[in-house]
This record gives sequence, structure tokens and C-alpha cells, in this order.
Amino acid sequence: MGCRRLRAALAFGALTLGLLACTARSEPGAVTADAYVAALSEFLPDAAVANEDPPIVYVVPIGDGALDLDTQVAVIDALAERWDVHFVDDAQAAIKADDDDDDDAEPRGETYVLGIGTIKAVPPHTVRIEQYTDASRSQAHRVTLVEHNGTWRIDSVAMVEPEVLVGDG
Amino acid sequence: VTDEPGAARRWLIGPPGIARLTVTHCVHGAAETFFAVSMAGSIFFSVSPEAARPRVLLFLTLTLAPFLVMAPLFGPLVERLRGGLGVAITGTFIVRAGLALMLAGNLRTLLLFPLAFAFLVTAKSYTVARNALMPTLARGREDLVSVSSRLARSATMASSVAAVAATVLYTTLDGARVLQAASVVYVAGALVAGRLRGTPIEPRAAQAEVVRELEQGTVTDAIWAMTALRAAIGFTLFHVTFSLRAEEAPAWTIGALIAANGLGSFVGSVLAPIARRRMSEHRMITVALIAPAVMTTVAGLALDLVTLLAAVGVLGISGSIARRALDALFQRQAPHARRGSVYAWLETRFELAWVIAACLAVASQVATWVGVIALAGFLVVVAIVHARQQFRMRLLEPRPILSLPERLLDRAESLWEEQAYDEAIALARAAQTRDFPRSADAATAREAIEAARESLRPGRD
Repeated sequence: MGCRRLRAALAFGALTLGLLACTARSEPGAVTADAYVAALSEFLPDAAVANEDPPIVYVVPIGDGALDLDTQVAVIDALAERWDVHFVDDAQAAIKADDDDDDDAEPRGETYVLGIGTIKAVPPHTVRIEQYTDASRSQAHRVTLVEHNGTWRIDSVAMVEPEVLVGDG
Repeated sequence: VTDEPGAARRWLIGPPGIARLTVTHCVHGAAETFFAVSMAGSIFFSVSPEAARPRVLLFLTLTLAPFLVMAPLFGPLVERLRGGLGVAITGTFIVRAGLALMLAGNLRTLLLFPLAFAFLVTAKSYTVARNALMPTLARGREDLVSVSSRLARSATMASSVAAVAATVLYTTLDGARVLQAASVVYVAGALVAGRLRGTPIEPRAAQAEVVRELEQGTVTDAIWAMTALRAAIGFTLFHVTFSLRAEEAPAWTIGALIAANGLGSFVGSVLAPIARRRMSEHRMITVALIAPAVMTTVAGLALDLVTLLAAVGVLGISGSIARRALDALFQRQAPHARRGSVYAWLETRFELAWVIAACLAVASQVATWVGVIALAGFLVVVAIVHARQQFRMRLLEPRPILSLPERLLDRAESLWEEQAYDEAIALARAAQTRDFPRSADAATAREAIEAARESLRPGRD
């Protein structure tokens, strides 16, 4: 009897967890995926033309960790027509390096690697974006976004000091 | 005397009765392969593994719920519903046909996760129902180990053919089209499985007898070992999948992982009958625990894709061999427990172990080599415990529960199914005699065989 109750309690717990997850909503006023799409669009390579495979763009997190799953999926979906966006956790996964000490390793063949931080939730909505040319060189930008009637656009882009992506950190 | 096409047919799908289940399982294998290939085009390969991890864990946890509920209910349900298992199997095909169509439109959306895990629950329900139906169909007809091996062997061959077709479809079109094709195959599976609906369920055995058989130390031990192996497979698949994803390994590497497991299962189904002729069921299980422990240790120490695939392959072989050993043990030592309801309960328990271990793999977030070495350690411990228990049990010398005349009649039934009527008659008549040996060993048996041969030589009366 005890075993049955335990099983029922576990099953109930699992279902409750699922219901809570399915009904979870993002907080009002939160930075949406559109903001990230707007921020990334400025730095994307030329889009694919008809009958061509879209260029692969790897997006690496900077700072606080990866964007949440919902945002990642929304960004991928918004850009899917012209770019094949892949979010990765580790820059090493996106940048071809023969060994850990190879600072001259370049991004994979026809791919682009962008680093993106987290957009600040309160104005000014700034985010750091880096374009990696190889494992140790990048161009860094501070992008400021503005939101008007739910639409996000870039207000300004400023060059900043890049960070080392791979190597001595 | 049997003709060659007939023999080939029996080797592939078995005698009538079992053949329907074998064909159903082959279609299931093909459909599952289409589904697996289609996943290469899913959003799972575009999002970062760390972001996907909580969602995968959530839905794996949800996968537990139906098995927690099903475990105590499935057995009694199987015994009460006449033809219920056939209906259950057909139902799993129909549900998956629908889910495949829904997934085709949601491969690149967040709905992928709930739909894929609903798929997983349905696929595992199919496994439970299939394994529950198997002893019912095999009863009195054929050796359970042969039936089980044939199912695995034929399904792997069907899956291999399907893998080629699905890969061609995926590379020329896309994942959504592969899923639509999978849906068609599932519908075909439902039609084939429809023929299983009339399968009669064997009468309920005395509960006390079943419990007594299941509580034998040797049987309990084998069940625990099999549970551990199933858990190891669940853990490895998810742990390695997330490791490969973290390294942004191409989708085909995860396909290779699934293929290695399937190939291992196939090799295991071929090796199991050979192993059974040379060693006891418990030794088979011990070997099935030690082999993956050694291979996972190697993979942990020399970590690369090849050693990981080899470890997954060896785990597939071991899972398959251990399962056949368990079937053989039930056949020999727990004949009353060798029935649908008990098998349903067993299989539910194994699936539960698989899911719990998969949850652990996703939640643990340890480095690949740490997880692999931990798994090796776990398998070594289980193997030692199993071997030690067997050493103790050997003192008890369990005797077969079926009497010799009963075993002779079972064998006669098998021969009848194989249309070897003369042999069946001879055995049935032998079962009626009262001249049975009081004890038997290899030397006495050899002596009896040689004496019989001698008496048949030309020139002898």
C-alpha cells in the first residue's frame, strides 16, 4: 500500500512539474527574442541567395551564460530563412582548433562565429557583441537597442575592447 | 523434412503465430529508424546543449509518470483484457503515426520536446506490450530464447534497410518528409499489429506459485542484473549524446551512437544462443556485466568517438545477451512466471530503470570521461554482487520445476510447429513411458546416445 502511495505521489509530482513548465510565461516587460534578432542582424554575413545553403552562424554566449531555450529557438526561427544559426556553449566547438595552444585557429570553413551577452533589461538596453575572426582575435561592439511599440531596433553601435575567446582567457 | 524456402522463412519470421509478432516488430524497427533519422533535422541540433538540458530533463521526468502508474497496473490489465495486448500494440502504432505527423510540422519549434517525449513513452509502452505478448505466443510452441533472438535479429535487419531509405530521403528532402514517411510506416505497423488482436491470454497461474518462482534467489538476481544493464544503456545514451552535442559534433555521430546500440543488440541476439550452449544463464549475465565494464573503462581512459561507439556497441550486445539469459532462466526455473502479466511487470521495471538512469545522465552534467568511468564502476560492482550471489546459490542446486515428461511434451509441441511430425510423435510417446532416469549427467547422457547409435548401425537388430 505504501509503495502504491509512493508511486502515485511520484507520478503526481512529475505531472505537476510538467503542468507548471507548460504554463510558465516570461515576465511582462522582459527583453524578447526580437531584441536579440535585432542586435545580431547587424553583424550577420551576407544572406543566402536562392538555391544556396544558408551560411552557418555559430552564436557563443559571453558573460552570464547561454540564452534560455525559448529565446534561442525564437532567434533561430526568425533568422532561419537566410541563416543557419547554431547556439553553442563552448567557443571551442565553433572554432576549429588543432590543439588548445593554437591561437591562430580560424572559424570553421564557411561559418561565422558571433559572441553575444545578455541585453540589459532596463534602459539603456545595451549588449556586447563580438565577431570572431579566429581563436584569439575579435572585433567587439557595444550595441544599444531601443524598443518602440514592441519593435526592437539598433540605436547605436560602438567599438569596444575585445576579449580573448580561447587561450589565456 | 523441410524445404529450404520454408526454413529461411522460419529463420526470419518464425512459425505461424510468432510470425505475426516478428513482422510487427520488423515494421516497428523500420518506423523507429525513420523517426531517429528525422531528428537530425530537429531544433535540438541548433540550440545549445546547456539550454536544452533542463527541458530534456523535465520531459524525461514526465516520462517516468506513466511507467510509475503502469508498473502495478499493467500486469492485471493484461490478464483481464482478452486480446488486450494486440490492441495495445496497435494503439501505440496509431498514436505514433499521429505524433510523427505533428512532429513533422514542429521539428524546428519548442513543441519538439513534448512531442518527442510523448513518442518515447509510446515506444516504451510498445516494448512492454511486445515482451508481455511474446511468452504467450511462444508458449508450448518454441523456445523463448529463440523467439526473442529472432525478434531482435529480424528487426535489426529491417532497421538497416530502413536506415538507408530514411537517410536518402533526409539528404534529398528534409527531416519533415522523413517523419511523414515514418507516419506511413507506423500506419502499416498498425495494420500488421491488428492481426495480433485475437491472441488468447493464457489462464492465470496460482499467484503463490508465481511469487515463489520469482522469489528464488537466482531469478531475483538475474532480474536485478538486467535492471542494472538497462539502466546503464539509458545512462550511456543520454550522457554520450549530451557530450557529443557539447562538442558540436555533427548529427550523424548521434545517429552512429544509436546504430552502434542497435548493431550490438543484433550481434547479441546472434551470440546469445551460442553462449547458452556453452555456459549457464548466470555466467552469461556475469559476462554481460563485465564486458561493458571493461569497454567503458577503456572508453573513459582513451576517450574518442570510436571508443565511445565501441562501448555503446558492447552495451547493446550485453543487454541483448542478458535478456536472452533471463528468458532462458525463466523458461527453466520459473515456468509459471513465464507469462504475459509477469513479463509486462518486468519490462515496465526495466524501462523505469532506463528512464531514471537517463534522467541522472542529463542532470549530472559531469565530464564525459567521469560519467563513463562511473558507469564502468557501477557495472563492476553489479557484476561482483551477481557473481557472489551465484556462488552462494550454487549450494542450493535448484532443480527444474517442470517434470521430464512435461519438458518432453513441450519439445514435441515445438517439433509439431516445425512440421517435424515423426519426431513429435516419437517424443510424445516417449513422454508416456515410465522408464525415466532418476538422475542425469553429461557422461550418462553421452553413454545413452552412443548406445542408441550402436543399436542403429546396419547389421544390428
